[in-house]
Formats: sequence, C-alpha cells, structure tokens
Amino acid sequence: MAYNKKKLMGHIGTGAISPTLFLYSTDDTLAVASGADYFNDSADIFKEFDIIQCHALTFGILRVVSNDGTTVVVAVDIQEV
Amino acid sequence: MAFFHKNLSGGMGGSGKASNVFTYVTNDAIATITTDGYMDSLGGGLEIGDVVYAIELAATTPKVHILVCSTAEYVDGSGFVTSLDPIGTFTGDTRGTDDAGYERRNHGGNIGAGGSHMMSTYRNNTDTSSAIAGAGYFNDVVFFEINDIVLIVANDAFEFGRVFSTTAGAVKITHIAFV
Repeated sequence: MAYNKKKLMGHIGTGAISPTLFLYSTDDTLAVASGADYFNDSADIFKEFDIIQCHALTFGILRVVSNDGTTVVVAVDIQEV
Repeated sequence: MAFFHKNLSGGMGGSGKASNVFTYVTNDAIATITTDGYMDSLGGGLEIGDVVYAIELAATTPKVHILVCSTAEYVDGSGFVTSLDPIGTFTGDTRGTDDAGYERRNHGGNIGAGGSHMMSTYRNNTDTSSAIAGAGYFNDVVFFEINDIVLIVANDAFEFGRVFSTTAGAVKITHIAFV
C-alpha cells in the first residue's frame, strides 16, 4: 500500500513554533510508513518537528525530521513492542 | 533555558475531567523538562494527568517524549507547583476522588475520526489501569471503533490503550507496550 492522505486527520497544535500532532491510520507496517518518500504527498502540510502518531499494524510515534517542500523525512521515536 | 510558553501548543481534551494533550518543543534536555517546577509559569494551565508530547532538540538525535503531569497544585507562598514525568515513571493519579467505574465526564478530547482512527483521553484517579482494561469497562461508549486509541490516566499508571473489542456488552481496550 501507499500513503493515503485521506487517512491523515485530527491535528492539534497549530503554533508557528510548537509541533503539530497528527493522527494517521494505515494498514501498512510502521517500517513502510516511516520509509523514504512515504509522506511526500503531504509535503505542503508538515513542518520540521511535527509529530505523526501512526496507527499502523504496529503503533508508533513519528517525528518529521525534514521537509524541503517535496520530500518529507520522518523518524520513528516511539514504537510498540 | 527555561520554559518558553510560545513553544507549547494544544491542547485537546479537557472536556469535563478528561486529560488535555499538549505539544511542546524545546532546546532544553529532557532532564530539565522533567525537573519539578519547569512549567510552573503556566499557573493552573496543567492538571494532574495532562499529557505533553515534547520534542527534545538538545539530544544528539532529537526525540519525541511522552510526559504526564504528576503534580499540579497551588501552594501558599509558592504559587502553582507542577511537575512532569516520563510515561514509564509516572506512578498514577492517586487522588482517588473519582467514582469507580466508567465516568463519561472523564472521557473526552476526541480527535481524528473520519479517515483516521480516533484518539481520546480518559482519566479515573480511583480505578487501576487493569480495571480500566477489563472487558465491559467502556460499554457505555458507542463511538469506539477497533484500533481507536485512548490515553488512559489511572490510579496506578499511564497507558496507551487500543480498542480491542466493540462487541455490545464487552467493549474492551488493551494496553500498548513500547520498546
């Protein structure tokens, strides 16, 4: 499966500095969802340090490492056992 | 560096007695953020059981931490005194002032739904986390879907819960354990 931005919802926090917390649901694995280019379709939304709570097959919390407007890079900071 | 209010955002929840959720980013180390009194300047803006998704930029690799407010009280001569604990060390909201059993007013802050799963917060300072994860505890909740997430502040712990069953009469969550 690929990224589906319709599954990205419910952000809180919209400050210019503070991170925004997004929820994202997918049937993909956390490894796939945190892979290269996965979130690129939402490059217009994310900013560095935003948090994506990923309700995947394995629950995890991702952090946006960088976004140059085209390529979104995320890291897994917290994940389910 | 001290607490910088503009770097705090949120929160969700807070309806009734449910926990709020905030986000925060800082150049301070996690040890500083979790030092008692770090967010005292918020005054009454934090309550026991409120949750902060904090990004620590000072680390070699920046990282998200989930913190729970463990102290929030007014002390004569000192003003509001607050403290935040990492999720693994938060030992619960032990005030014991809530009625045992599910309380709708303690459950709120729904975000998500639509395309994604929903996240809500639930606080009960009398029930244990295992009681809250018992089959049927959330039977009065009609809006759950499988895999919705509930941030649970119990008498003895803080847990991420996942909706495991929505079967009428046997609505159940399970706890999520982290690496």
